[in-house]
Amino acid sequence: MAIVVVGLNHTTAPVAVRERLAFSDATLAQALQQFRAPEVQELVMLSTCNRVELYMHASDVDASLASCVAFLATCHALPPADFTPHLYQRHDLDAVRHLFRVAASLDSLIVGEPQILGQVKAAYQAAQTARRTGSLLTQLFERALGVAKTVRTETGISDHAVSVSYAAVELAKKIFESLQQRTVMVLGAGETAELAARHLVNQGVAQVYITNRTAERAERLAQALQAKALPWEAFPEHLVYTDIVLSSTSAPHTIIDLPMVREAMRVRRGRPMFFIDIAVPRDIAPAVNTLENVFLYDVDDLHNVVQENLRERQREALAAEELVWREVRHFQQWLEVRDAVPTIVALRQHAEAIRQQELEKTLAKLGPLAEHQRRALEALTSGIVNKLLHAPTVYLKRSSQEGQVRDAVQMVRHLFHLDG
Amino acid sequence: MYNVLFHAILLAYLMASLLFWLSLGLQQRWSLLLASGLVGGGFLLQTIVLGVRFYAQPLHWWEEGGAPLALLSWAIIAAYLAAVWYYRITALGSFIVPLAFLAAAAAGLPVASTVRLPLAVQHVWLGLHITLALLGYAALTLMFCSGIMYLIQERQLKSKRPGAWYRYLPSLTLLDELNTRALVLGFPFLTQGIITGSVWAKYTHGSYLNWSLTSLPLLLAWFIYALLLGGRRTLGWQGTKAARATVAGFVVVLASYFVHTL
Repeated sequence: MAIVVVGLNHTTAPVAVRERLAFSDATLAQALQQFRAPEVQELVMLSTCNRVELYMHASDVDASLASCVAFLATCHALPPADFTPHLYQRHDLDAVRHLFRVAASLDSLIVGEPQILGQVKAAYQAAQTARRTGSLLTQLFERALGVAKTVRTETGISDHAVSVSYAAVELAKKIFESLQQRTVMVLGAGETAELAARHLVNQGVAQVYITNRTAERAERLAQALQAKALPWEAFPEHLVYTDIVLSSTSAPHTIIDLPMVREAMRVRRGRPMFFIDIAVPRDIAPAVNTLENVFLYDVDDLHNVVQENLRERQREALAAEELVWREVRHFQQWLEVRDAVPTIVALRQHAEAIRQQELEKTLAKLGPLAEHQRRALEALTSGIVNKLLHAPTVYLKRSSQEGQVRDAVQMVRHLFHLDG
Repeated sequence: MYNVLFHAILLAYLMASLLFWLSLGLQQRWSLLLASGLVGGGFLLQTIVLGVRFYAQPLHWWEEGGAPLALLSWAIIAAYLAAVWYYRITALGSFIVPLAFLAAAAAGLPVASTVRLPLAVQHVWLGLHITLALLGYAALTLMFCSGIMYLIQERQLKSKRPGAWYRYLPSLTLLDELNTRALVLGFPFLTQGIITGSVWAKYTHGSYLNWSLTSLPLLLAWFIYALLLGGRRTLGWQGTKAARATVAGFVVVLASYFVHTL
């Protein structure tokens, strides 16, 4: 009777191994049906681009590992030696904590990334559809999803951008609130420009203009982003109508200087502007940042913001780990109460059997009795049994709250000879 | 009884202020929610207390020492609640609730003289006039807080080292909008204060310009409002400039108030 997880992830296995062990949605449903082993009662399989994990309710920890290896090898037609060095196995509370950390995105490549919760949920649902979950894994996964949600709402682990493009979007939102009615001008039509521009387009900006020294490339990118191309010579005048300037040209020197922006701001009557300079060497004169209501971030500035955000996430991760520990302890209590229940039931049955046996013997000896006499005898025997069993029952229940249920169960079983 | 309620209100605003500042460090929802609850509870209590006092003495209640300040703290919280309702700027509480607390605490200080007005000018609408003028002051306080928040956020963005403040405070655009909205809404309140105040002065002192106690800060505040409104409309004062002007204006009004009363 144990919870076991066997699997590998981005820290233990290179992508070359992970990709060969991964399951697609279709093959996962199949695999859930195919993997049958006598010691595995329940099964959930989690497969993402960063991890492949099998969560099991198993009666034998070592046997379940061997079955997993055999199954993965035949399923993917791989020699076991190719992936066994990368496998890890955890059981009982370590397995519980592992799943809670995975679901809460504490075990992710980028801590706090939000997709993993959906992936864990999908894996759980797939296992339910395949009828491979029972009461134990159901409880485990419901708790894991609950923990993940608590972590997300109570800590800031998923806040704050951790990529340069997204950090720029976040900064823009701290200036403009919403980007919906803003105009963006992109200088340059290279790959970095496109990538960063896409992030802004996804925020629903009103209009995007693209300008480039070679007009054809600007046209091409404009088509891809549903933007308007602008002749290169026209961009200085166009600054007036632009809220966000994204610059990523290969120019060897600055192309936007202080007087240019000052003039634009004068015509704009001081409405704020945000300059994002992701070109190296830089496209925009640093002095532009000194103007009122003008904000300029270059590549290094954005990297610093990302670093700061990562540190912030790490701080939040500490709080999240604490939360996970607390939830693991709660789950442990649930498990232990669950362990004590069969013993309490067995104890009652055992005593009841003795009582019935002895009662019958006595009744046979006494001969015919009046109904009220019979009932008095019943009450007498039940009373004795209940009073005697009260103490051990309370002891079992209390020990499960105190986390010593294993010893208590063993002792009670031994004392009352329940396993004989 | 009033004493107990008065202290309960003070305590609610003080605790809320502390919690708002705590939220900046903790960045957790519960402290903000608790602080908002305290402000709401304090405001409700204050509304009841002021209402009962008004009902008991509709003509004289605001002549008592401290009544205008108590009303001012009430108006500031009312302005805060309206702003939060409309803009969802919870961080505003860190700035404006302590000011409301100070006003409420100052209302409890013993004042040497109570204003006794001749019977001729005692009228219910006078109370209304004072309430509206105080709402104008509350709008000015709101502008001051949004200005301070704007300047902090602007500094964060310019410094390129966004920290806890950057996360805690809303966007510049939103803060500037709040500032404008408070200006546009507050201006009519103060204007009516000026007009009714001078009419009243004519009655009591025989001149439109020779006013009673609170007149100079009121006049100054009105000029600053007018200047800001004009600056925004005609000179394109936006963002940083408007925020600085607002903060400066508030400090001037506050200083003139102290000079006047001490």
